[in-house]
Amino acid sequence: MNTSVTSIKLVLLGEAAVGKSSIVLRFVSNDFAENKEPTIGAAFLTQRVTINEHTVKFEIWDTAGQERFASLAPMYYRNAQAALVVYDVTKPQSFIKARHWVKELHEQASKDIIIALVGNKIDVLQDGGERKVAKEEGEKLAEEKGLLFFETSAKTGENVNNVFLGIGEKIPLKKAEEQNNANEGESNNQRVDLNAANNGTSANSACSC
Amino acid sequence: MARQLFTPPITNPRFDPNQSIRESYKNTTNCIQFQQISHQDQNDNEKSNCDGDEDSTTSERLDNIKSPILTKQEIDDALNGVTNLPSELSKLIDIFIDDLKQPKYVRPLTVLQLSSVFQSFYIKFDKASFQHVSLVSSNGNINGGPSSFLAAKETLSSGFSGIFGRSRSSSGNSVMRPRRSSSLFSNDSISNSNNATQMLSPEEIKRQLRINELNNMKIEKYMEFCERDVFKKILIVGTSVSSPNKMKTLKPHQLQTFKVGNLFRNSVEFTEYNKLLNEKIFCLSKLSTMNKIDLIKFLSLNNGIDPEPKFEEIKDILYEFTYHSISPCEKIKALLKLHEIMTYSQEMSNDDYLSLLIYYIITIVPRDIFLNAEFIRLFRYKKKLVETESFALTNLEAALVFVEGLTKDDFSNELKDKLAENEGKILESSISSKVSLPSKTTMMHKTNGSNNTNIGDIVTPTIQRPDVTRSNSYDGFRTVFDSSLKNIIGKIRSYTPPHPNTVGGNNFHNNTNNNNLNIPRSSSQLSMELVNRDTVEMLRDGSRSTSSSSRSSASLEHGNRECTGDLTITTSANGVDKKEIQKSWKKYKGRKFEDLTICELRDLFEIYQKMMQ
Repeated sequence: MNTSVTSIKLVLLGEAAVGKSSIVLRFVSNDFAENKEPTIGAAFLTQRVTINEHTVKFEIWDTAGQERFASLAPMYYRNAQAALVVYDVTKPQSFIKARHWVKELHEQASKDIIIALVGNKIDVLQDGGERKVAKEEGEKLAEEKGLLFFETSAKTGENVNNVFLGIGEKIPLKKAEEQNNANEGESNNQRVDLNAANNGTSANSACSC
Repeated sequence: MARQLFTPPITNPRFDPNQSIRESYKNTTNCIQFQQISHQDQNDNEKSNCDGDEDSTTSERLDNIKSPILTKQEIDDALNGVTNLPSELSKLIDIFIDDLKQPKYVRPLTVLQLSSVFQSFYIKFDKASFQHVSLVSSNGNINGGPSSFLAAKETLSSGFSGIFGRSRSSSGNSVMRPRRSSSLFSNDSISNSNNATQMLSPEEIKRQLRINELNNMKIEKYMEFCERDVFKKILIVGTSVSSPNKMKTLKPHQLQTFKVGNLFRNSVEFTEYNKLLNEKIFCLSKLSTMNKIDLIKFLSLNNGIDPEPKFEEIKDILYEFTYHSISPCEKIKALLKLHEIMTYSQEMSNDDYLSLLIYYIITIVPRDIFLNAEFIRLFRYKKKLVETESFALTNLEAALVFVEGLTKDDFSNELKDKLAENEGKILESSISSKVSLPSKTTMMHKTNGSNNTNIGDIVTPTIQRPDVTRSNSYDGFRTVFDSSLKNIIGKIRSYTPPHPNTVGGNNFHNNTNNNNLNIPRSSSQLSMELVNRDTVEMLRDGSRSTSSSSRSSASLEHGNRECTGDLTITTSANGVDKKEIQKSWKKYKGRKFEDLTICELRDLFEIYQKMMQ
């Protein structure tokens, strides 16, 4: 077993009230235990996941979804290795906003940032609610832009873990060789340098989108 | 396959003995394995694990240690005794501060350059702490265990994993050198281990892991003390290069308040931005008090969160943050405390935090909050400014960016009519449209070179050359004039024979050409103030007239600077009436450079010309 831990900064983006925080809270909900690492409400959380014998520590940064704070988002997603762009499947406007975030991330975030597009609140559909964003639309956007795609329910927990596992598997984890050669800069031994480790473990990616 | 990947052959330079040992004992040493909680997922058959507990080989931040191999009691026992730095480490701080006070640069360093000097020192100190702790533990002073050769060797090699553990939390740039503080040791351990790898019993492995954990915690604590002691000392000795015969004595109350602004005084963009932001926050606060704007409504805070009950508590902590804390470490703790107090429930999202933060900043009006935030960003040890600390600071910076960007257009039309003239002026435009911070310029340069940075970055400052180019965004004329004065000063300086006791001119010039601050040679290379350096040096050399002129010029340049070495001119300079010069000189005493008119600047230039004659 490799006991090294790779930290991944993951930023949450999406319109207000699409369920960004709920998804993360669901993801870490098993660990609201005594020995929890310090958090800042649901705005900053950490969670460790072991993927293919490698431990990934997600540092999850929430962003304010209100439109007035949109311009502040770059401050949060700088140096992020992964982003979750969340929309509400019952709110078409939130999907439009998601498109904007994807575009902005591609333009301004780290070059190889891994983006997962997440359509949340699918439980509402099971309760008789009307879907306003077709799954195919999300899939199409994901395909066009090279994103991971998931539909989730933070309420029931459906598919939530898969989102993070999918990201974890796609992150190019540093090998020992790269670690030894790590030079100064943003990257260091336990932080993933997306630009340096492009050829990492892409073969491992097995997203079920 | 995985084992092959993680344990390369012993002949391979990347061979990690610790990893090998763990692999060898994999089936029998449960103590070093993860405690895993299985995640069951409905749609994925792939097995995945989330560990709710900590990795035993990974060091965590001091305040959230929950190592499975150490009990709380053990941690307390080991760390409670650590209340001060060992003398060897404390000495490093003394040397660093002494070095800071040495006149070495022809021009005062900007805050970004200063930050770089500090970060280099932190790295050096981190290494020294590691060496100190390793030495102590290998002597058996910590665990009282046998200090056999094997134990000593293992302690040394344990540095490898220990370092991995410690560097796990690393982030940010190290411009000068690789950040990992113990890389030298880890390399040593690799080569040593290639020659002799003895099988260790599970007990021995466990013991080594415990030592690693404790050592890492001690180093963390030493780093905290380092920051604390460095800035406490700076508070005592001041931020100016003072005359050796004159040590300014501060009153007790002065020793409790550290003005972060002193560190920024050579970077006018920061001080200007801060001044404008102070004005804007005050203006918004006034509008809120006068009920011209409804902040709660404006910030959409009315969704079940009432900021009032915690107002006093927040006020105290914000005052603690801005006025009563000294080191970046203390300030970031205050900031984390602030977030903790703002937490009404564990489900609070960042919409709530950010809105609350903005609300409290505007209503409490903590002075110089921008400089305090930048102070942390620049002077907190980068390696430690991660996770919650980094997030909390980003939140504060985001709140300040939001406030600086507020204009009257963001409010209702009714407000526009109610605004007084000066209020309208303050809310006319964003501060960032008036003042560009140098860090952003640096960021743009960096973005051109690599893809790692983004908009809004505040990057680790890079010293490319001693005179980092200033942003000329907001006041071209002033910058030009400022630069020309600096050039004049520089020329004067170049004619000054170096004093044998000061840092060698060759060293200095080498350094200026090197684009690097060579810390091993000297723990820092800084002149906080050109003024007194020149004065002191020239007094030694008897070049008093030149000294006075440089001082006067520098005083122009940094009009709001506090001068500590208050030397007076005692001789006339080439027939120029001393009194006349002094009189006209004093005319501008207490004036700020940015307040001077062109006529006054011309006047000053004439004074300067007279003195030069």
